[in-house]
Amino acid sequence: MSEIELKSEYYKTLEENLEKYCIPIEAIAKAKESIQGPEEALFELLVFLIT
Amino acid sequence: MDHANKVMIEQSQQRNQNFIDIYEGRMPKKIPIAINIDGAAALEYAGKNLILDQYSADEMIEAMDYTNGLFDTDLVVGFSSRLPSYYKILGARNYVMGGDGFMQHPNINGIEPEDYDELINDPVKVCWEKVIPKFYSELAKPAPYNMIALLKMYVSMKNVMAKIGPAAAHIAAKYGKVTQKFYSKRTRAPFDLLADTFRSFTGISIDIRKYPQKVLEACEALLPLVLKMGIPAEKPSKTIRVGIALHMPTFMREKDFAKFWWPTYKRMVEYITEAGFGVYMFCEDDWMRYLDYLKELPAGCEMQFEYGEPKIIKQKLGDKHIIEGLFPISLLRTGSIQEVERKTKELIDILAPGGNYIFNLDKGILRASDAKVENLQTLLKCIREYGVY
Repeated sequence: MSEIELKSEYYKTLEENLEKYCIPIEAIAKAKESIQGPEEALFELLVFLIT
Repeated sequence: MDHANKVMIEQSQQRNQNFIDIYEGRMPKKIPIAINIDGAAALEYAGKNLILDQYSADEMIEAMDYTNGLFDTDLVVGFSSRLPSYYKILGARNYVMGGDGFMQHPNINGIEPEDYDELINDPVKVCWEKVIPKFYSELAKPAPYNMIALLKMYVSMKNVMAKIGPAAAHIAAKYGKVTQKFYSKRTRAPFDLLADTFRSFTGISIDIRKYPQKVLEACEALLPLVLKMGIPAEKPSKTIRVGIALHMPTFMREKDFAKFWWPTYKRMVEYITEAGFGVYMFCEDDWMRYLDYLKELPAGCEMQFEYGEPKIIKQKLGDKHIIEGLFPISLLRTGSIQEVERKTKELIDILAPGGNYIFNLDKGILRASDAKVENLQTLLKCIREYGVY
């Protein structure tokens, strides 16, 4: 199902965000809410704004 | 716990169960009712001022409480997420308040034909860089003005929802309504998103003639986006429905529908159902010429129809999918109580046998003028009494 994965300069996965913010990969479970939560919330906000 | 509370809890549980039974392929005790009433209508039923009171969460909650007490719907009704405060803060062009306070949605295009390649390459990037500044004048301004506007809007939304969420739960408990969350995220068909957000109704109608290959590629590029929009974060269950309002098909020739609209939509629905979720789709307008296509979709899709022939819809789709809608809202506006009762029983007689049926109107109630109070109350009472298995 990789064909349907969303890829964008403006949407990052948790792994990509850890790399972007220089956070150790070992923090992946702990950073899910604090780092990926805002990414997902921003995506939801974008959807609200464009529909 | 007092007796009244216990009765309401049992009523909520039974109403939850009727929906669960339908979604899990069983016969419910009673026909579930999915009638919805918009926030604007709730404010009007409650005698509020639409121009002023949409700015206050407290006024909206009062109107929700009043409307849910007035009408014995299964679902908590009476809230609209499209509030003017958000759009005023952003300087919106895509949602504007009409002279009577009702939020209007003008048909504007987010991109031009020359932007297709960028859209195909990265749709989310095009949304942030081109669509958002076009839709919202405050977000077209340079930093920090755009950052300030977006943050203000976001805080406004959070503040409202921090009050609405608990209020809705309180109202559900107070009136014995559905307490389980069945309707989750909303998304769009790829072609509809292309039309509604990016190219507009008129733009896409030209594009399928002038740039057919770009339109096809854009629908493919939008598929991951609409799936990301729609897939819920919850644990997969057929009782969790992803909502999709279907806009463009009835304005298209069938051969254009088959070529441009249908393929990516079908894959989208297949993916959502393979992921373990259910789909609720609102087939806007008259879908009679597309019933054979709908039959191809995975079993158990919930399909609300606006217009069409109930007997044929039941005959063609009733064994495979959940049928909903078709009750003419116009009858609630202009009909007599007797006419409402007669039509309700007529539709139940056609659509309810064998299950796979949720009662709904042909469209949501947007304004109080759409439905006389006594007619809607009669309708709900009639479904409760007559819609028993």
